[in-house]
Amino acid sequence: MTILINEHTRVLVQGITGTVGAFQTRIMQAAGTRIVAGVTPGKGGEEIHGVPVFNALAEAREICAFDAAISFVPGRFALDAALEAVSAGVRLLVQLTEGIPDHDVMALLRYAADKGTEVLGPDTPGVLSPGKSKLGVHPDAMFMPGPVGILSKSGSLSYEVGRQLTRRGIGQSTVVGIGGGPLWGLSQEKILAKFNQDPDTRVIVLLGEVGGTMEHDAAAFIRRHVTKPVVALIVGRTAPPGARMGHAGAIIEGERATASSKLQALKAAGAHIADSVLEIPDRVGAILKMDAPSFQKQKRR
Amino acid sequence: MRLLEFQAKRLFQEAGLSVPAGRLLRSPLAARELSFPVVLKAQVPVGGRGKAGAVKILQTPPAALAFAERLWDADIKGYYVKSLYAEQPIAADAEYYLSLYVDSCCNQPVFMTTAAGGVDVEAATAGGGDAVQFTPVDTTLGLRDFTIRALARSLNVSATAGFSAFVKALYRLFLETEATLIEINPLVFSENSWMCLDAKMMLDEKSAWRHPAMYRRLKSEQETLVARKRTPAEERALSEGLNYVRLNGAVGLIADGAGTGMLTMDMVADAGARAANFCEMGGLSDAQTMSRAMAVVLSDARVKVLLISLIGGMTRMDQMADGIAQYLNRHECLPPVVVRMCGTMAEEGCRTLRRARVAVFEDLETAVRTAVDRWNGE
Repeated sequence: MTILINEHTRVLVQGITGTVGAFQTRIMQAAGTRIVAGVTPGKGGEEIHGVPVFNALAEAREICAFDAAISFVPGRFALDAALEAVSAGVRLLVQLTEGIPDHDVMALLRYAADKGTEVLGPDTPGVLSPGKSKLGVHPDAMFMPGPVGILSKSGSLSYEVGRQLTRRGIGQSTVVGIGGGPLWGLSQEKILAKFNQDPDTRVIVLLGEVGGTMEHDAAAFIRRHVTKPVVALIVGRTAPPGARMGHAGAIIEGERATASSKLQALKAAGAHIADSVLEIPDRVGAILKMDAPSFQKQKRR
Repeated sequence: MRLLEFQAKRLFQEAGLSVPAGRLLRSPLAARELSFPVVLKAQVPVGGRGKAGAVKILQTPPAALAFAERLWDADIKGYYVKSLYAEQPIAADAEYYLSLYVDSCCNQPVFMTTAAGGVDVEAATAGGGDAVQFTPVDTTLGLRDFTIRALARSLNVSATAGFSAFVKALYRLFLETEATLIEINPLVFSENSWMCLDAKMMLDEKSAWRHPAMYRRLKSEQETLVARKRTPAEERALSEGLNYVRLNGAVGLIADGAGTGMLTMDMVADAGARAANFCEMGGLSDAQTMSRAMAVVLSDARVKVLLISLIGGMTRMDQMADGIAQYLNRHECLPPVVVRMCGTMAEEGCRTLRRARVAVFEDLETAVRTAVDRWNGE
């Protein structure tokens, strides 16, 4: 099994006729994704890589069934497209778009919560279950199927870790990018809960960064609820306070936003701390070599 | 975008919030022509101005002129003073703190309040004790009376019509300007009204296209009134729209992702060197973005070696390699360049770089080690 998506997930692509949308649609198809429809207002009737294009989700709904949507719609039109997807009742919306105004994101996430739609992002590389399906832009060649769940704020960091694991012959169940913030639909905590319940995920790799306090909530959740081993890495240890390190959410403001306080909280919660990315395959490999019943967290201190 | 105090107070006034009568001084000489006593406040977009000596109550024109002249062009936490705001001083028995911000835990607006406002509020808020209260707003309901009553209780004041009107005006301003933070500290009750003695506002520039007139005015004011201490590299990065952070080392750094950028920066430190900067290009970069990033980072004379850390997802490595090769072709006497390249179209990219005699590695660890060795002069 996987989390969020699997080989049966029927996907609608919003913004399918744009340069990036069309290009990524073909790559997602190659990764196994079942793309059943695309939407671009005004472009209904066209076809992109064999996928029928509709003017609206409601129109697409009459012709075919879909349970997830991925949006390449640019910032100014992103909220309207996202609300349309939520209103059409998709179970999962992957919001790749960067640059959506914060007040729009608040409105989207509030409505999605009411309608029971899970939103991944915004500003996310998406989600990949190697060999099964991909709603995102990950470079597939760096990944392979296997027992490790990867959860990352940063896309590029999840590629790096996936690549290192794959080179050591350790595959991944699902690779989830939650986005660079400052607002997040699915949080680290919610993805941890899903990995913890997924029978095919045996080890969880949590890739965090400086800025904000989400890793502290993740640590509290690991302590209380997560029974599987978690290997954690926080990047930005050498970042200066007050500077924005690439992501909107990656600014050290206050002690709880630092790498050291996050690492301390995760360690106290029983997570295995990787001091460098190179340690992750060793740690994960050692855990996987143990017998299945002893897949436990480190003893609490 | 962080507003200057006078800009925030103008928006406050337009929204119907009370602020002391005030005037912007664009020259120190203007400090003589005020009615006294007066508060003079340096207009720099940073907190803790009072403790930095940039705010003072003055009784006479000569004292005001002396203070203004001393402060003019002075460096307050990395910003040069280019204007002062002159206000009528307001005396109050109690100082409250109230802020309204976009909360990244509940993805909704949240009010943060404490009855213990003033210059030491950070000590109270950092502790997170009972003194500080958080009151969320559900955006589907909007701001309701029960929330206003909760805010009044948190400040230990009564929820009068005046208080309610104040909170409503503030919330409306937050929505209409698409602010991410409005902070009032101190907030006081004076002459029968709630008055904002200081005003901090952060706007979300991602929404600037919806407010063209407001941003035009705010930006043109900031162009002349916000002067930051910047190095040439920082100036250049700003005009190129690159995310660039100056650091203290000698290894120049360019990355195509925030996460791997921070990872590479940490690994450089682990290998015994220090990064000179952090520079991230973002997900949809092309050859030109790459060349421009190199121009920015290499305009810093402290850079003794340039490490480019690329892991292509959305970015195409063939394009990145073209950008690197083009830049190297056009420039001479550059410090050594080390590239880490893998991902989308990496084979083509690596071929281009090898032809241009650039040290390129598929593996991040090797690239970092090579860059640090070159810095060591090996």
